[in-house]
Amino acid sequence: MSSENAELHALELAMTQVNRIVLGKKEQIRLCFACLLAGGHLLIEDVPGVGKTTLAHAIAASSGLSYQRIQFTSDLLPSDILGVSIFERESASFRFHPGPIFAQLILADEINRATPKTQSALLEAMAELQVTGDGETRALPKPFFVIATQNPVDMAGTFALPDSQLDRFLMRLSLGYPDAEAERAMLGSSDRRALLDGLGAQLDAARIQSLRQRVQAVAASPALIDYVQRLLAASRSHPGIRAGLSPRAGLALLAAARAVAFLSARAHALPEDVQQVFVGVAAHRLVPGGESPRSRDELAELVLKSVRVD
Amino acid sequence: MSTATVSKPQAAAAPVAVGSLQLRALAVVLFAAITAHAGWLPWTLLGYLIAIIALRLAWQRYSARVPAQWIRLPLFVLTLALVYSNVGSPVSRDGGVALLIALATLKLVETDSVRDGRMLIAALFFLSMTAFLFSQSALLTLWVAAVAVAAFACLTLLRKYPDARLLAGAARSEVLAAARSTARTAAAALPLVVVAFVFFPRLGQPLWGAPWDPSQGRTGIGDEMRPGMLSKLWQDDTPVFRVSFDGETPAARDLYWRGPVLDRFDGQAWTRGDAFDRFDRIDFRYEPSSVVSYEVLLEATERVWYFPLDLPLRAAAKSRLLMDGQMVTFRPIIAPRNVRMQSATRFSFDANARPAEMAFALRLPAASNPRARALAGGWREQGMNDAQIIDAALTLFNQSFSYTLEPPPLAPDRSVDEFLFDTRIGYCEHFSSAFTFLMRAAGVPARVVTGYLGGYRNASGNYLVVRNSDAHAWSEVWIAGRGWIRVDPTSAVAPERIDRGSIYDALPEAALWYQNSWLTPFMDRFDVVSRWWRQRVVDFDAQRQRNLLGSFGVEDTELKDLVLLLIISGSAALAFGIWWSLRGLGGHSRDPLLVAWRHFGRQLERRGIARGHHEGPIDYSRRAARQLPSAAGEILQLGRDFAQLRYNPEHAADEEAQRALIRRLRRFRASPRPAARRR
Repeated sequence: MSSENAELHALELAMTQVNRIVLGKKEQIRLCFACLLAGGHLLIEDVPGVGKTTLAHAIAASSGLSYQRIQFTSDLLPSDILGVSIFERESASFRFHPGPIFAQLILADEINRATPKTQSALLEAMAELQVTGDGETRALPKPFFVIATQNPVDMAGTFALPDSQLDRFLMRLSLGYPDAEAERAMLGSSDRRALLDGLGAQLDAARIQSLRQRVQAVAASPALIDYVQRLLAASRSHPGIRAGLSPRAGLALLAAARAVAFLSARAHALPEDVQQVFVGVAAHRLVPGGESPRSRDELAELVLKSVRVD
Repeated sequence: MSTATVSKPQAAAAPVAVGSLQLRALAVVLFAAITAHAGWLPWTLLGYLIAIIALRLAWQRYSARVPAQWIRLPLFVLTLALVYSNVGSPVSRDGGVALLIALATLKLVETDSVRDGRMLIAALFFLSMTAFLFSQSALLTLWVAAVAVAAFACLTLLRKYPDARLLAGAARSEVLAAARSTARTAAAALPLVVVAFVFFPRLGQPLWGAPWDPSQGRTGIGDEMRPGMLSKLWQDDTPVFRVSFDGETPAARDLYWRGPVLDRFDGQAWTRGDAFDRFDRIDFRYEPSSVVSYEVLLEATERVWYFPLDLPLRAAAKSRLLMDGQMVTFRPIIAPRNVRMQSATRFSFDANARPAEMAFALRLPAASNPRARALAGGWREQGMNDAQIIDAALTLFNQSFSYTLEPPPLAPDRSVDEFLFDTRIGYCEHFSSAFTFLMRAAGVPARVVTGYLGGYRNASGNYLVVRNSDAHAWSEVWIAGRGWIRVDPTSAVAPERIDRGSIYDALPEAALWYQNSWLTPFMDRFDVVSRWWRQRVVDFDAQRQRNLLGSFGVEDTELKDLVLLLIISGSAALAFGIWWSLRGLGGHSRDPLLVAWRHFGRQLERRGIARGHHEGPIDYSRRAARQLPSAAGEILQLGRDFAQLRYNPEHAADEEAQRALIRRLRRFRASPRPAARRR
């Protein structure tokens, strides 16, 4: 088995493993892995108790990356994430104690419970892939993958992430309640968290880096780029949208579509790939407006439906 | 309330300045519109206007501002003066149009805003249409159509404000884009043009040529002949008429096209007499075997003569035949017309003339040309009869005269004497004038007949083109018992002019550079097109319209039927045009692979599996395959292959595979095969 095939095989095993933990969410799990392969960060948004954290744990365990979980609370400070410099008497100097962010995979749980100041500390680190403190710049490990979860913003005691910050996440997914069959299966078996301990690391940092490179090599034809551009243009002229998609959103769409195409074992991306990732990639970047604002997901669906595929 | 509180209206926003590319485009359209008038506009005026355009463009390089008032005002006065001196009063067709052209050119000089440019274009549309007042040829129509397209393209350019891109050398692509979009729109308008042409209610008489200006005569044969008038025509190869014979074309020596008959001589010029009696009262007999039928397509000569073959049996439509054999129309011919005629080439004409008329044919001014008079009188005194006198004159010409295209000028009052005794070199008009004079002086009734001789056989179209250069003058003498007999004194000097039917055979140096060259076949073809254009398009009048509609079963069309037809078919043509020109919008590209893919979608649509416009190829083919299991394999394969070729850049360049897939997509039929065949 060649190393390329071995990588793919490991990827499939990892996905199968996660599917065994989080039941009936095959599509979302595929998108999570697409997000990982596209090199973007993932935001999972849903009501408590549908398995957000379990999903994040399962992905972390299967990916074989160094892993840190940060539980966001309202009194969490930036230094709790980034790390602090502490004066050491022996050497008479400050010594940096890295925070939990210096890991390859971060699970930022309930990110919207923290104050905006703390949120932006994380989000800036995500954008720049480095942490600057005390006049020193420290690079974050590679790969660096953040899975953040958040409760819907109408829950009490939360700080909504600003629109500009949402842009840092490649995808925003919501899990939704499991279907009846999956729910029965889950209720009938042991605690999902206990199963997590038995998960083996199927991937590792090197393999993920290599897979990412292969994803980037997936071809996007002029026709596909044309389609993506028309989606962006349509989002900007849609009457229900106050602020449409940015060029960065377009790049994100292409990257995610490439990853999905790669997961389908194709060397070129199709409009169908773009459509699969569109709501996940685009919805949280749209700013609803107009008389009677619709939800972002609805708007994204409308934009998608309004653009012709050639 | 005092007026002080009324604030002045806000100054309008500054006009959008015209860019240099736009100015150049305007100049090109203006130039093209002016050249549509090149056929009639005096060269000096034409050159002057073109020079102004060129100077305006040069000025633009020097300064973005328009030339100052003190330059523009004298320019205006100078231009008006030139128009007046070259063309005449603006209260006439020529003067009015020339004034309009001059003003449009001056408008370009002061154009510095987009708004000015739009106004200029609007004027140019009108200006190019006025060219049809002067000519309706196929070439001009094509040219004016091109000018209209260019004007629309220029409007497109004017719509875009001059921006950095235009300055940065993207001019070429901007112009190309404008031309492309305009050409597409023009093509979309073609059905509407055809519909309007066929159904638009026609006037009995076309509008063009209407402001006919009698003071601005065209060159050609008229009702007067003085030395040097016809010889000026030999290099004018404007067609006067075209003839197609029903049967064989008569021999070249019989192709005398009879025009004005001139029987009054005042010592200087031959003019028309008062022979207004009716032809049918004249004694006229002809050999039935020599009768020929033919159709004449006459250009707008702005004169009243038809030119029938010598001699017509009866008057053609809209004309009458005078007793001296001229066929004249009731009104000047200001639009091309098609006339059927019949003539006999062997005839006896007015054999029993009345003495009073003969006396008229003998009159000469008392004291003119004494030497010629003496010569002719001498012949009569020698006891020669009429036939011998004619022979004597022809022999004289034959022995000591020669034929030329450039005869020396003659003193107006002694022209016959000078020609006969001094210069002895001349053109047909000199010979016929001198000959007729001699005959009259010798007591033989005679008159001058002008018209055309011969004509050019267009081998491509099997018809004869008679041009101004074929103008000819000959004589008729009356001999008792035989009537009027045609005597062509030119034949005694240059028989080839008569026998070959072409001036170019008589005098090879007369041929213009493009005649008798490799160009001739092309010129012939072009003339065929011109004739077709004349007959089918320019001549499409109310009667022809009725005939055309009648052939489709629409009988007795009245005005309101026509209007109804025009509205219905016009709307259809307009709808088609709109559909056609919008087809390319909204991203519907004309990539053949995409077109084939849509065809495939339409096939499936017949089975109720319409492709959602946002549905990708794989999704669609999967859904279609589920709903149409009998063709599932083919549908899935086509969907996969299309997605591959369209979205995989590695395969997109494979033209062979593209063509193959296009064929397969086109061949796909979703309709179920008949059950019998499946078995």
